[in-house]
Amino acid sequence: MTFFERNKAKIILISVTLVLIILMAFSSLPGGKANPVSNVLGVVISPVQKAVSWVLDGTGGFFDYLVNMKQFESDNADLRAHITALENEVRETEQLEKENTRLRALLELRDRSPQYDLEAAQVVARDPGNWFITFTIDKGTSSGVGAGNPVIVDSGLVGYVYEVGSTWAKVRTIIDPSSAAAATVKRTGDTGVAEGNMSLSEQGLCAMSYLQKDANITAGDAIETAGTGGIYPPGLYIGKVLSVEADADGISRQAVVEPGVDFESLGMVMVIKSVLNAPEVGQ
Amino acid sequence: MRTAVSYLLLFVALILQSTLGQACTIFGVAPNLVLTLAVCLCLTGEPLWSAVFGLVAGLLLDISGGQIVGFEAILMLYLGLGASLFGNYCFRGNVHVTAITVFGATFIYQTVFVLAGLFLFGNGSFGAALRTIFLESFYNAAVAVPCHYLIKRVRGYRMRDF
Repeated sequence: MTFFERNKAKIILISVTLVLIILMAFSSLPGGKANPVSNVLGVVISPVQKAVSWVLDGTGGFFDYLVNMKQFESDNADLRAHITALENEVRETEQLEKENTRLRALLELRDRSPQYDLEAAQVVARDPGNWFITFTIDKGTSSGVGAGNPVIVDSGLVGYVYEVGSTWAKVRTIIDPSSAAAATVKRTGDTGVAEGNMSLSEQGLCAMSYLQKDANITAGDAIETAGTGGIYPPGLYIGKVLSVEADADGISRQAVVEPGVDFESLGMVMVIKSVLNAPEVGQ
Repeated sequence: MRTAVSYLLLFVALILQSTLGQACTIFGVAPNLVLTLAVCLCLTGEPLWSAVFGLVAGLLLDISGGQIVGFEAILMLYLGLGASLFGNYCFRGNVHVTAITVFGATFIYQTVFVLAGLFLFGNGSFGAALRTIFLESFYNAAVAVPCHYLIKRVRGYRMRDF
C-alpha cells in the first residue's frame, strides 16, 4: 500500500484545509461584487428568507399583541384601581375641605361671640324629610347642654334644643311649624314673630307674622331675634325678607323670610349654653 | 435518502437561524441552529461524511453571512470530524451526550472565532466575550435536545449507516 493510500484521509483533509485558507485569503481582499457561488446561494436563499420573515413578522406581531395584551390588561386594571383610589381621595379631600371651612366658620363665630358660652356639636341624625325640621346632635347634659338652649351657626339662627339626653339632644329648627321666635327688623326695629309655616317649610322658608300694618319693611331687610321670647338672646340673625303681604285678617302684615342657614348642609352647630354678662332687655 | 434529508434539514436550519433565531434571543444571544444540527448529525456519521457535512455547513454560514469565506468552513469541517470521532467513542443515541457535545463544540467554535477576531481586528477582550460564549453554548445545548429527537424521528439514528 502506497503512502497516499495509507494516509488518504489525512491528505485530503490537509488539502481541503489549504484550499479553504487560500479561499479565506482571496475573500478577505476588498471588493463589492459577490462571487458567483455567493450570488447563486443568495438568489436561492433570499426569497425563502423573505417568505419566512414575512410569516414571522405576522405571527410575531400577533404574539406580541397577545403578550402585550395581557400586560395592557394588567396595567389597565392597576390604573383603574389607582384612579378609583385617587377619586376616593379627592372626594375625601373635598369633604375635609368643606368640613374645614365649616369648622373655621364656627371658630370665627366663637371668637366673634365672647358673650356666649358655646358648645360645638355635630349633627348625627336628621329628619328623613327633604327639609329637616328637627335633628339630633351629639352633645347632651354631660356637656352642659340643656333644653331651651339656642343653636346657631355662623350664618344665623338654627333653632333650639327641645329635648336633651346625657349625650345627645334634639333640636327644633326655626322653619318647624311649631317653632316661633320674637323677631325684629334690624333696619327699622319693627317687631313680629318669626315662625315656621307648613307650606313655607317645604321650601326651607319661614314667615314673620304679626307685623304692624304700617311697619316699614321691604324685601331684603335683615331679621334678627328680639330677645323677648325667653329662649333666644337678642341680635341673632334669622334671615332676610323675600316678600311682604297682608295677613289674611287684614289687620297685620306678614313677611316671607329666607333663613340665613342652609339646613340641608348642616354638619356642625354651636349650642349657646348660657349668655355671659347678657344685657337685660330694654337696656 | 438520509443524506438528502440531512442536507435539507441543514438548509432549513440556515433559514430559521437567519429569521426565527434572531427573534428568539436570550440575554441578546441567538442560537446557532446550523452548528447545533451539524454536530448532532455528525455524532452518528462516518468521519469522512461528517467532515464533508461540516464543511458544507460552514460554507453555507460563510456565504450567507460571513465576512471571510472559508473561515467557518474550516471550523465546521474540524468540528464535524471531531464530533464524529467523539460519537464513535461514546455516543449510543443518548440525548445528554448530544447536548454535552453541542455545548463543547459551540464553546470551541466561538472561542476560536473570538480569538481569530481579536487577532485580526485587535479590539475587545476575550474575557468580555466569555459571557456570550457561555450563553450561546448553553442555548445551543438546550436546542440540541429537540434537535436530537427530530433527527431521530426524521431520519433515524443508526451508527455507521452512510
